[in-house]
Amino acid sequence: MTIIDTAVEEGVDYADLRHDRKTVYKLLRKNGIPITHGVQVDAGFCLRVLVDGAWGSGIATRERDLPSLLTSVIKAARCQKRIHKIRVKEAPAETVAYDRRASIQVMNEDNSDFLKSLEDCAHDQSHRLSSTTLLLQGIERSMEIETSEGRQVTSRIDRTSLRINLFCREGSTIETRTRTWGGIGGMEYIAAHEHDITQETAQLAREAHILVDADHSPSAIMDCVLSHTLTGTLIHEAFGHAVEADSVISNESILAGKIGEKVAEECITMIDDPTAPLFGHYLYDHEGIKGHRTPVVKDGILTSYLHSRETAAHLDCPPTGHCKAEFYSNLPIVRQGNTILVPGDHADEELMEITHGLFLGDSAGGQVNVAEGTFTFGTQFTREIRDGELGRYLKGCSLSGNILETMKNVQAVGKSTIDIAAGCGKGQMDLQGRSMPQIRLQKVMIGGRGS
Amino acid sequence: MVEVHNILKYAEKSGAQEAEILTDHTRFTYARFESGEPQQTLVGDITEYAVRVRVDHALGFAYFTDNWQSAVKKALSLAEKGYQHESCPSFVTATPPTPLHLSDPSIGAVTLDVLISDLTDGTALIDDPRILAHTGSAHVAHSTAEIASTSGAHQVESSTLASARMACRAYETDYGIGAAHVHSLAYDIDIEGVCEKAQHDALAQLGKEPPHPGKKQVILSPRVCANLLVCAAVPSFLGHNVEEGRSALTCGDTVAAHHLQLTETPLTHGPQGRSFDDEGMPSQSVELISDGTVDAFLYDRYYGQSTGSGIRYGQYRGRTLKEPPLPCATSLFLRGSSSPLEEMISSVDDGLMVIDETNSHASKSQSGLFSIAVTSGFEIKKGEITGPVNRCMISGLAFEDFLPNVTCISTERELHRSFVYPTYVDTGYVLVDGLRITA
Repeated sequence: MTIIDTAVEEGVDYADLRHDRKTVYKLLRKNGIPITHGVQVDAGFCLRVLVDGAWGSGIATRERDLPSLLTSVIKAARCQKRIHKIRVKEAPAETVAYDRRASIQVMNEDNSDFLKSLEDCAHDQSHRLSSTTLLLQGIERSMEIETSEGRQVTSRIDRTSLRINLFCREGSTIETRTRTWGGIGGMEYIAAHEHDITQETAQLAREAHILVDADHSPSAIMDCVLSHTLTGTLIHEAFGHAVEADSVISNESILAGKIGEKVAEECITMIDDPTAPLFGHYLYDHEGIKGHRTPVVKDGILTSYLHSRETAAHLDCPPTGHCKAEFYSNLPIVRQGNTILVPGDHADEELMEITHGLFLGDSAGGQVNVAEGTFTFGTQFTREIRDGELGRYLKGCSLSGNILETMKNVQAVGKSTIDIAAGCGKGQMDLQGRSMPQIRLQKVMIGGRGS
Repeated sequence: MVEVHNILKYAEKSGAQEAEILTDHTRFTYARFESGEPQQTLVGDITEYAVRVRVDHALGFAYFTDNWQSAVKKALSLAEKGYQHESCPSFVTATPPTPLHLSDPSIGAVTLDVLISDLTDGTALIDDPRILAHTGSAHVAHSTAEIASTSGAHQVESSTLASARMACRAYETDYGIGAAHVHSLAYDIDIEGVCEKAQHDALAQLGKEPPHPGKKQVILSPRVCANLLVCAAVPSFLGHNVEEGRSALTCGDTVAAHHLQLTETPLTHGPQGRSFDDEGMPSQSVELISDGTVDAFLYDRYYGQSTGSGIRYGQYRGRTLKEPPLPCATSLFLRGSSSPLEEMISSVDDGLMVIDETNSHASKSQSGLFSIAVTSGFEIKKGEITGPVNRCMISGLAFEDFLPNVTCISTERELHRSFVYPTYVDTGYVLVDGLRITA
């Protein structure tokens, strides 16, 4: 008899047990030294019960602790005495499995040589290179979920990523450029993109070199073109978080109650598709629900939120399979999977048709306040645009704005897209994918140090 | 829980010349409320391990929660294939730390029913009809950290933590957001006070007007000051950044106003205290900025040794046990010329008071460049607060525009924990001359 059978005998409305195991291998090269970084083996259990319309949840690292944990979580749920009862959407009783593991592992000698060749390539571009960090990471995530519906889901997905940080220094001025590449599977992803990664590493080194002498970005409100990665940050942070239905049902999202309304310019169509073969790929979420390709905004009209079992029941919608947890030790919450902005019909040079503006380069992170509908993002660098031409490099800055106003200020969406390996920290870290074009935005508030 | 000495013996028997094991055993209870009702509860009792082994001059590292024999073997395998660092230091030997008594018995009596009851009472005080939504949580935990090495070190420290946070969203003609937090070693936290403050701060932000752009006097709240210190300034004081070309600072550089002192103070009886670090070294205070100039950096055993100075300061693991230890600040204390907040406000002719911000975490740690958006703040005219400000941004360099222009620190102080790094900061409101505002 499993712990879920025992939970059902105890009279719970719903229960699930997630046995989660994550192994992370890291190969690190810093400043010419191949540091074999280490390995993380993170394994444990997350048990959830729904009793009298209230959740009780607990975590344990040892299977033998589960019976006492069940007693604790049932007690925790019963003591809440909620007035508004929580319900969950049920899923079919079936046994399903998915396996997408690496063909080539991260930990081998050839990969150390590859990191050295990238570092050499960066040094060839700049005598100012003062610090290099190259981190190759392989993640194996295995998960078994058993629910009181009789549903059993087994999933194993491997991911590989490479992150490069390059620093250039002259006197007391230090500037940096950073980029991450990543995909599902193992080193075969990196191998398939080796040429592009090498070219882009050289470009990162050249840009870090130039930024040392660059002036600061201005403090101004102006028209801008956002790079692919910055567009990804904008769509993910400003829009994606606001359509996560947990913030909708708690009345904390600026997009609550706006299904069917125009929330962006007609050129904006956004989809979240965890089944796409991008970095955030999965077939089953961490509640055992099948992930669905979910159109979120179509031609500027809000069409759907992203759901967990609970939010789908609350809003009486089909579950979309967007509930995920970082480790066994985290409760699953509503997250984006692979965020896709459908490309438009503007070539890159057409996007630059601005008399006086800025090109905002790669993203340097961002933050959104979905309750107020505002966002702030950093850029690693900017470039002037004058009469439709890209001009000199400027040091990084931040941009800020209101979600709804900004999405109505999108003038054009580019044709070319790139795939992005990204992470998101909504209280817990999640690996996500993005497919993004560049966009042109009017009236962006730029907080640079220059005048 | 596996006995640490069994792991060390196993590592030595399997080929490690030296081994070090760090464990953290935590029991916790957590409750999250949404709009006055419990939304999630979580109880846990977990043990995490981090092992480092040395083979010749190479280190191997593994983090694990179970199957410890396999993890030790993986660490050994990494060390056997690893790069030979001639300067690879030995693990710490037995050095008794100063006990801090960070475990408060009141935490043991706090059940989930107590947390739910106290959050129910607290959220009942959020009763203004303009509050659209409120979410918050309370959490109690008891942890025991234990570090042992084959070099003879064995240290154990227990600590407790109680914390609560609340955020309110108000609406009239626009939105106002208010948030409050509290941390303590004991269950003496004022949950009702946190709820009332979050409501008050959200309502105070209704009716915002845009400020005029330009360079102005700015009062930063303790929370905003703490975020800027941790994200824009402190990375330049961490030994690995100093030694590896990611910090432009050297000892003796003038980086702050002459009256400012910034100290790492882990030997403190509070949530920010710890008597030894994650390499087993006894904690000690380190003056990072003294009279406005750089006095010292934070090193671990590896980077401290590479300075050749023979002086080793406090060293701390980064965020979790999942990574090998690196230099990290845990407990900062900022002091300088002080005055009451009321006097500070009355001295401002045309400026802003910033209560909360976003995007400090995107500051450029190597240059100290920050560019934050003000999410909650007030305009000050002729020594008086005139009203809340609409969205605006403040940008500058930590060591050119922020710290050198701090004219005073308020006598009203608060303790804040960074949401990015495991660092607490004890500071007051700070008045900064001439920060650039975009609006």
